[in-house]
Amino acid sequence: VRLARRDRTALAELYDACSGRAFGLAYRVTGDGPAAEDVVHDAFLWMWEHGDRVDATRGSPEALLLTVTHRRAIDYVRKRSRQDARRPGGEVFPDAIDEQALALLAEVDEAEVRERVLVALEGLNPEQREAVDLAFFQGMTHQQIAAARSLPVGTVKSRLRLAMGRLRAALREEDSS
Amino acid sequence: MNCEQVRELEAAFALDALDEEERAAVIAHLDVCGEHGNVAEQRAVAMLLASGAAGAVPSAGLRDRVLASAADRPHASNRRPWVWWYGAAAAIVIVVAGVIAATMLMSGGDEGSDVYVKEFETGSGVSVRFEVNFGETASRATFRGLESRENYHLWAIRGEDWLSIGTFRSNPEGRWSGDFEFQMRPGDAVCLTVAGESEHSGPFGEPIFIEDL
Repeated sequence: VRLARRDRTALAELYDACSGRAFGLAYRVTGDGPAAEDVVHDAFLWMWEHGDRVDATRGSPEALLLTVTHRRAIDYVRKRSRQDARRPGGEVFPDAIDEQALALLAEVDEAEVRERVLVALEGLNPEQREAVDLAFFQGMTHQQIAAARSLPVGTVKSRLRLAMGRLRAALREEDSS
Repeated sequence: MNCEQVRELEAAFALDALDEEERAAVIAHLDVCGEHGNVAEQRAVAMLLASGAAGAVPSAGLRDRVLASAADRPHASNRRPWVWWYGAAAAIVIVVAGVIAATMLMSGGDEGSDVYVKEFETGSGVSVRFEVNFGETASRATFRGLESRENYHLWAIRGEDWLSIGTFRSNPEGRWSGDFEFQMRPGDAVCLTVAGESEHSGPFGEPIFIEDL
């Protein structure tokens, strides 16, 4: 609500609470400090300029900020590689799927579930874990991963699908425990 | 793209590992198909991966830079200082560019909402189609005849305010089609410009068109 009211103190507080995590994420994806700072700068400004949407979206502002940060970092990496510089739609506004995902996270203990997902990530076999890392943290498309590792695209899709299945199971553990 | 193809790509979609065309195709399918309820869960997992990344300390100046930029950029709806000169320039461009053809029709939408469809072609040969759900947040736009692989910024003009709808990148054939989340209102005008370096920049360059809805 305070962001929607253009309260700069709220932005400063959000920055103080989340900038380290956002910068860490942006740096991991871009591997470039100044670029990561540009990404984080733009992500915070997005939050500022869309304060009404931030308030209307269920889930934590941090999760939304990190989603925007990740998208911008991916865009930067792909623009840098001169491939797939920007995608339509999703790069500006978190889409409907993102909003559903944020709502899901609002219903769980996010810190606890995150821990389980990270443990599950470590438990993936090396090929699956590498595929997730290349896709999510290095901004590569599944086709780029296939080319980089000399694998059939179908193999990369399978690895990502199996990895995500195991990570999803961790997300859902709470329901069964 | 059918359900089976989308299922194969759900994980890559959630991890942002699809190229431009695939991502657009998956989103278009998800918009009309209710058979992919677990995609949101997969996106939630991706968000948790993002928040699980190790933190790092940015340079001390970044905080000041963010806050200074915020001061320069209040809410999109409050961007007034440059609206006047830009509006005047835009009006001139409209006259120069001209609208060759405009077609408006109303058709019944789902659940009692009307879909307002407007099609036109600009003097520079860009074909435009808007499918607007007034009162809803989802609308659709289709452009043909754009520059190849160019970044564009779509704006709504509401009274004196210029509101950013979003940016997109045309494909190699100079086309783009996609949904945007923005609540259009009757009386709004739409404007397309080439995108600046950041979506937070104001309109950059001359409008390609400004058109009342």
